[in-house]
Amino acid sequence: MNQVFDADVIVVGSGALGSNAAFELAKHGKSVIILEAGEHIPRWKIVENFRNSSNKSNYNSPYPNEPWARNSYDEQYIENTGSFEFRPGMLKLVGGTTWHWAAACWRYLPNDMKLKTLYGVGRDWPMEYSELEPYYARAEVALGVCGSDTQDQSGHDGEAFPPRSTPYPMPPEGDTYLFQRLRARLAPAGYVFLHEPNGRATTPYDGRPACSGNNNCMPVCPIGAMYSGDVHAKHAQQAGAKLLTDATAYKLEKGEGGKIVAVHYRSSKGDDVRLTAKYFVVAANGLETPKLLLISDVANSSDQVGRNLMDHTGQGLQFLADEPVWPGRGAVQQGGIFNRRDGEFRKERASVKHAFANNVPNMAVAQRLIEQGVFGKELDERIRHDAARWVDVSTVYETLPLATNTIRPSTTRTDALGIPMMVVNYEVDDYVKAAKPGVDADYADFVKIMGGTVVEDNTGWQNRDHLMGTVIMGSDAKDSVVNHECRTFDHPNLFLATTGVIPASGTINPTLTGVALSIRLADIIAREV
Amino acid sequence: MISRRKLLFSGAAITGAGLLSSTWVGSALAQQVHNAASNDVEQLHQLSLFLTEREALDPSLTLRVLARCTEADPLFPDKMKALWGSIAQQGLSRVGQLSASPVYQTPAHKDTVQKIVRAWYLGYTGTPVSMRAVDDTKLVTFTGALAYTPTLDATVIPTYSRGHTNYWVNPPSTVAND
Ligand SMILES: Cc1cc2nc3c(=O)[nH]c(=O)nc-3n(C[C@H](O)[C@H](O)[C@H](O)COP(=O)(O)OP(=O)(O)OC[C@H]3O[C@@H](n4cnc5c(N)ncnc54)[C@H](O)[C@@H]3O)c2cc1C
Ligand code: SF4
Repeated sequence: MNQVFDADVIVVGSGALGSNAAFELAKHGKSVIILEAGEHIPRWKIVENFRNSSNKSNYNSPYPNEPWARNSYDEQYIENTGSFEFRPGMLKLVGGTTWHWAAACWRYLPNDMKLKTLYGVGRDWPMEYSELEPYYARAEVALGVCGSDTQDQSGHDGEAFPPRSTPYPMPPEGDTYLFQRLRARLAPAGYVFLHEPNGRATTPYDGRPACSGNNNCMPVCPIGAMYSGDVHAKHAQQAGAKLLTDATAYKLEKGEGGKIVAVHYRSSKGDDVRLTAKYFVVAANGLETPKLLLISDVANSSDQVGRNLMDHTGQGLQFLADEPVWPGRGAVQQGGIFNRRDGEFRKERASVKHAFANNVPNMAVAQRLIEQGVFGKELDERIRHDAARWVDVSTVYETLPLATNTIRPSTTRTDALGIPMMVVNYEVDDYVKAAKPGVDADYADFVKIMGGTVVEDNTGWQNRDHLMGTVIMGSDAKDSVVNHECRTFDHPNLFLATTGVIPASGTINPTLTGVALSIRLADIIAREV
Repeated sequence: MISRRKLLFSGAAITGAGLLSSTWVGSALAQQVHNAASNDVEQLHQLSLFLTEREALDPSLTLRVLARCTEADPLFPDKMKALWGSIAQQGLSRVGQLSASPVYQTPAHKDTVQKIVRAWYLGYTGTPVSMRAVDDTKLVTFTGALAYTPTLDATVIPTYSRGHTNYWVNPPSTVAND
């Protein structure tokens, strides 16, 4: 008997990863339903919300935080039990969190994917860089990435690396004056500066205008020059996918033969709906995806769902240089220092990346001076003086998967739909801590070379909003949740499109890799459905 | 009779979209409020001119600073007047003398100075809390925040680009003198 399904494939989550998977599947002629917890909000409204926000440094503030679709800064969203307050800035609306990312689009290095083999720590990926490479190329086209085809991205100042089958879709933007000055003075001391490949259009691309330096990539690009997931949510719909908003998936239903047969969702209007499909893709991000699996009691025979939570734990430095370097012109970040991206040292300590923020610093500058009791004309003069000299370094550390760093459904808190919120337990481990003295030494060096006055050099550990490890990928069903295809070991028709599958974090932002994996899993599903 | 303070800071006047809309100051209610509380408004305006060392400030923003600060602390108008009185009493003629003066050593006065100057320069009142949906901050102004004015020729007010792709490869033309 032929069974009738609501769709060939149901995708949960319309972020960059889910929308790219849905678009690829729809292009293959598959019928696709996307379930999205949030609503569609037009860009102009978000821009207005930002302009009217009283806390502009809170990048979630222009975005919805509905009782039935809480964003991650909601008081109730995460209960932390560990010593570190883990709280990434995740969003709930059509397009997901990349509405306010900074669009860094790095590829992993081949060595990043063989961490255990080469350095004896963490885990290997169950696949080689060369297998992922063609999908990186497609992901770069999808996201409209601009980048340098000549740099050695391993940070060793060698030939162009890692290997590429295609050039970047767009040339890099010009170097900001800030970047030029820092490089001119720090590079002679041995610091290797790299341009950061990024999803900002440098020429009109896929309906997006070229970046004009609005300096507001976080929390919203007013002109959509920067890629965000809504681009592919729209493309997917234009290719025939059906997008249901205000539809929070809360249960994956198991059937015979280990297959998932249905997904259940609820809406704020009281709908409670069961939808069937041949295949399911959960793309609800690195926290919501494991939560959904755990509350559905699926895919967890390894007991690894919700474990191995990794962020790129961060640290920061702010100082005033001895010359005007004028941050705030152009996009909010452009690149950084990569000497410690890869090497034998990874046997003992985390790899590290330093990036330079390029935000208009006036608010931080003024606040500091006012606190110091500087007023009137002197305040205005000092604002200009200090804003021109403000240097903001943002460092990230590689982290290892620890079974004790977890995300679990809450047993005490629910949202307005009655769906559990989450509990996170996160500790920064010795592998990260062992790399800190090197970072502190770099900081002292930067300040010295730039003739700097320290504003803040002891920030403590910080969130970097990169969610990895929580539905970890591996070659063994006993210790991993998905295989190299992003297919769950337990359910042959359940795939996970999330950075949560990443088993080795490296130091680079994970979204491009997530999109590459999403395009790859869509190809695999399309062959089977 | 409704006292002028009650009128100015009643829920109707200060909450909801009304205050946020740029037309608010022109509305009939605003005019009424403006007249009713003109004494407080005028004093805050003069004090703000002194604290920011400016010849002129947007009077509609004075109204907003007053409304926001009073919303957070109903005693703000009294504190503001007490501060102004102390400044006059000490004979401070320039704000440059303020932070070293006894006025600023009085915690209550220092706090009031900080509130007013922050509201004008940062464009909000209250204390931002990071990584939380709710805090006590309230918007006064975005583009009118005085912290932006000293660099308007060199950097943008975020979201309001005046440039084009790659303008940023050059420094501002003033760089040699900055
Ligand atoms: C401030 C900031 C800056 C960042 N900068 C970078 C950067 O420069 N480079 C980079 O690579 N990464 C960056 N990131 C990380 C990046 O945003 C994420 O990796 C990316 O958004 C992941 O995409 P996703 O589609 O997996 O998840 P999301 O973008 O979070 O989308 C998930 C979607 O699923 C929906 N959803 C969740 N649960 C359910 C449910 N149960 N039912 C239905 N729908 C559901 C959500 O509403 C959301 O729309 C940054 C993050 C932040 C917060
Ligand atoms: S700099 Fe401006 S235009 Fe460019 S991506 Fe960022 S916000 Fe958009």
